[in-house]
Amino acid sequence: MAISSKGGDPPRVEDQDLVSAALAGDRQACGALYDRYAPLIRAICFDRTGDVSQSEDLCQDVFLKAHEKLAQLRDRRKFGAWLIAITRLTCRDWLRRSRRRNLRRADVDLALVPQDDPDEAGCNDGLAQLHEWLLRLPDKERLAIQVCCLLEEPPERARGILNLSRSGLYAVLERAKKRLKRLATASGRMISHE
Amino acid sequence: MNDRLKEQVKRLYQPLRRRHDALRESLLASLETAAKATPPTNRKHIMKIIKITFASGIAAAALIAASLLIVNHTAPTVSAAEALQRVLEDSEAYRGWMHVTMIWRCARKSSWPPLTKPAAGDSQWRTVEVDVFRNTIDGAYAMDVLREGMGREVEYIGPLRQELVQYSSATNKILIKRLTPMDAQAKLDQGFGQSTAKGLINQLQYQRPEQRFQVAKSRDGANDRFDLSFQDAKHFRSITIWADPANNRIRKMSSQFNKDTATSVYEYDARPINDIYDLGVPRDAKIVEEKEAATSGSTSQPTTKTK
Repeated sequence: MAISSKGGDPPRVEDQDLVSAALAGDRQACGALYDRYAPLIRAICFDRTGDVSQSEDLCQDVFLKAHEKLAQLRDRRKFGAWLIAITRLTCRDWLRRSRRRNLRRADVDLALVPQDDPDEAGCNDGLAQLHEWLLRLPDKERLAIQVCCLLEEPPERARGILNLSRSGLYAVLERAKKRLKRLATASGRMISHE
Repeated sequence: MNDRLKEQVKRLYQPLRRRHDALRESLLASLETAAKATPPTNRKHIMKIIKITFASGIAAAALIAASLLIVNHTAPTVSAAEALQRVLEDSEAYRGWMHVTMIWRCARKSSWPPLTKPAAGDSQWRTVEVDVFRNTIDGAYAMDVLREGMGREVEYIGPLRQELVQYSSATNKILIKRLTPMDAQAKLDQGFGQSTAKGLINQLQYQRPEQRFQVAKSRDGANDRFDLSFQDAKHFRSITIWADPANNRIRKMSSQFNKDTATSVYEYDARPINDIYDLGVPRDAKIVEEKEAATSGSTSQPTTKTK
């Protein structure tokens, strides 16, 4: 199994090895893939549905579908990109079904941070605002930010997941940051990264 | 990527990580049991069993297995069955606070547990989370149920077993009901099902030749693993029990019924629950007392009519 390590970091098992192990019935490999990608998948689902429990359910659906069709994945190194594609399709189906039932997309629950912690509650507005701005970004830019922030992947791997070149990834991130800055300025607030 | 932006984005999506471990276990159990799937037929009968075992702790696996022992007819592997029997006995012999976390993932067409019926456009799954606390020394009991789309319900019975304290997030009220000893026992049996675990143990002790389910014992990491397979029960795909060989107690149980999956994780020496507020019920919830003016000491709540 190919592993890579940088500095003092624990060795990282590559996606393709985990996929191969998962196909061979290794439960731990399935768990490792889930640990690695579930935060990102849930975030993508949450952006589409605006509901925490719905996003959890959709995330589970995505992994079940992925496991079902894992053998069909040709390039196992592209597991992340493939999973994101499944997520998009799953969310699209969910939205389509919702629209068919004349249900508008649920209002995004911006009260994500627990209210019982006064410090957290104080920051809640800021995070809600940040989320609103993220939702206004083009999908590609939002996804780039989510991959870089939630997956703990180095840029080399992040660009592989996003199917971008190195310069392409930086360009997308730069555009996203500029757009966030514009949104912040327009709303008269400065986000903390500035 | 700017570190502060990264940190903020992480914090933004942090709440989505809260149930990561439980969802992970649930998914892995689904994947595992899906491999052994068999087509369903006898839904109604098994549904009854599940209804009875709802919110039971150790006995959830036990009652299901016991029922199927009677319903189905194949002899279990004796050594594995004996080992399972010892695990059940040792689990039941535990004295102190224990906490069982159950996550039920119900397929869209499932009629159990009583959820808001998912419509065609909804996700394929519905989730019910149940936390059951039980003090096996004095019999105090608490249950916290989170039903998707129906809010949260909490109930508590103190060691004196005189009152049932119920809270519903829908009304934000705490209802106190007077309990007779018989009602209290029924509630406890329903909630934690100690007696049903004994039922299975008895069944296993008799080792009737016509009992027809198979138990396979194996090693899974540091745990002993018991896979119960049912040859004739078309709805129950499998039940798996993990036990800690150090103390021979159940650590985890997962079962699959049609597409529904239930995963329970057992914690021993759990934190004590002394009243309903220990379960996070808001202090400002209105208290409504159904019982008559208290003549004996209240187990958990003040006896004022409303607050």
